[in-house]
Amino acid sequence: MKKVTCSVKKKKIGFPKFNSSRNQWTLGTVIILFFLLVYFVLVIYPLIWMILSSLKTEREFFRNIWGFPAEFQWENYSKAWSMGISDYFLNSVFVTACTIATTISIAVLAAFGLVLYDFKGKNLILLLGMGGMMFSAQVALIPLYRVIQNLRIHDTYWAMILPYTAFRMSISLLLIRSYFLSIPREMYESGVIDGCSSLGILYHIYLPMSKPILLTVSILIAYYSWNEFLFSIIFIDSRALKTIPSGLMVFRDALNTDYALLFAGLTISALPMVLLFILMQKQFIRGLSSGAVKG
Amino acid sequence: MQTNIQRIDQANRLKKRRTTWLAWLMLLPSMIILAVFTLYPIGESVYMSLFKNNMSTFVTGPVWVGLQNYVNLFTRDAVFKKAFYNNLIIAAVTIPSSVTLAVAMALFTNKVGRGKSFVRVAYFYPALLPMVAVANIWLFIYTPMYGLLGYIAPTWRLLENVDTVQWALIIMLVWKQAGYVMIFYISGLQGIDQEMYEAAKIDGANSVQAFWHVTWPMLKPTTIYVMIITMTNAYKMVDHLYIMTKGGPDNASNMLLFYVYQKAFDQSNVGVASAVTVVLIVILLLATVVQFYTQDKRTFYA
Repeated sequence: MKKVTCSVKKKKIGFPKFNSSRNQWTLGTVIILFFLLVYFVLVIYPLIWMILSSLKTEREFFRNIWGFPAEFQWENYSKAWSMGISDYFLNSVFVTACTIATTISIAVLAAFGLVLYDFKGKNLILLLGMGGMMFSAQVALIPLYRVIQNLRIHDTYWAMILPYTAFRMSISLLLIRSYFLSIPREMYESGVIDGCSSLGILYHIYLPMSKPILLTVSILIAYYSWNEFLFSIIFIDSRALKTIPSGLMVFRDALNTDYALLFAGLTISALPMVLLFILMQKQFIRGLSSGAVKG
Repeated sequence: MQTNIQRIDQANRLKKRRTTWLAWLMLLPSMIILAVFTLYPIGESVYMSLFKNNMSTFVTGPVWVGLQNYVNLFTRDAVFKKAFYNNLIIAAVTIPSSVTLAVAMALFTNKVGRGKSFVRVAYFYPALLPMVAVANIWLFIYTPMYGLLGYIAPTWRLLENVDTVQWALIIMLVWKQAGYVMIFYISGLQGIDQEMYEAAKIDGANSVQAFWHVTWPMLKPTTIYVMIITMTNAYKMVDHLYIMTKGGPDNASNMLLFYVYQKAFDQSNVGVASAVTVVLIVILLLATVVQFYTQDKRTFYA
């Protein structure tokens, strides 16, 4: 801390001096705030437009692109839902739930092993985990396609669940590990004294204490698998198995020009994640700052 | 005495062997899944990039060509060059602009008292929308005549113009990811000790100075993490291209990953596609190594 205060004193920086009294409303902040407000409108506008468009008739959509619909066409939603969105939606829910379950259970085991035991090759594994984080899933597309075919899981739910699990593994593992590191080792020792097995300690002591990070990791996984596009379009052929992102493509192509209906479908598909974030944002951010980014 | 110590030693060693075995068992599932779905495909890409494997070798099977695929890419392949260059621009523009916007938004949302969570959600929601939704919304914003932007300037054809299509995509990408990045900065800001600001204030620092000497250095770990995310985002742009431009017009918006997709699935040229894949992997690897390497020197807390 000393270091910081010193450097503030010594260095004179070339920024215009603002009124440094307690009142923070200087010219600079006003400009920044104004800019951020404009940006706020720019960001929120497409959402409002999407929702308004989804409530128009097909004619209105082209005639009256800016304004409010004369009459809210709520049946657009039921129409979109029954035209296939319901299948994609349920597939997405299923795939997302499975991905969360497999990723969390595997990552928790690995994090526990990494935190509690010392053994040769531990650093190598950590490095591997870190490395896995930057290999963005889509990059190794062709060999992955072959792996999927050789495992004979092409065009099944597994063709999505397993790769999603693999590509969320690193970040989940690292987040859970750094959270486990913050749990005092005495907790483990007290478990040993009480005669608990290692898995028992994990289940009865570590997991209940780790709820915040597990929630954060689950949200990160859900976010990824709900929106993943490339794998679901390449590894899945049958319409019945498609998830929201790839299903929406089919939906879009089938609609021709009924864009109001398309936007109703898009709104439905976006809803779960937006709701999830609205409900969970506090826990999510707290979990991130407790586990994440600290390395 | 001596024998006792030996005995304890032996018992410890036995126990250690057991725990090591147990630790490996716990790590096994994650290692298997990482190996099968990430390590192996990367190795396989490197291997396949050394073969000529396209329609012409369909009968004979892949033919070993060494590094020829790479040589061709960098000397002859004009589309590859364009895609490479386009990716570079996208990364160079979107990374700093997303980070700047995100820091500003994070500071702003922290200042907002009431309605904080509403502001947060409003900034963050673009990241929550499925790609298909985002691509379709922006397709409409950019559509001439009918589109939203077309309403203001009916003659603009941003997506059909070689000079503007990149920028149209850049704006969309920043719009989509800045809010996501903001979340990491909000959580980074929560980790900063308030006493540091008080200390800075006592030393007479104004709010701008406090930002540059306290906030920004303390956010360095977040920034490094975020730079990796935005970098990979820039290089994995493919979904939007697939829906909005298909790499056009005249490959002006083609990117490396979309080129892989075109080569592999449209033209069945697996050799060249693998070579492009390897180039992509090397770029991302280099960027991550550089970012991790510079991390230690620039941050001052362990």
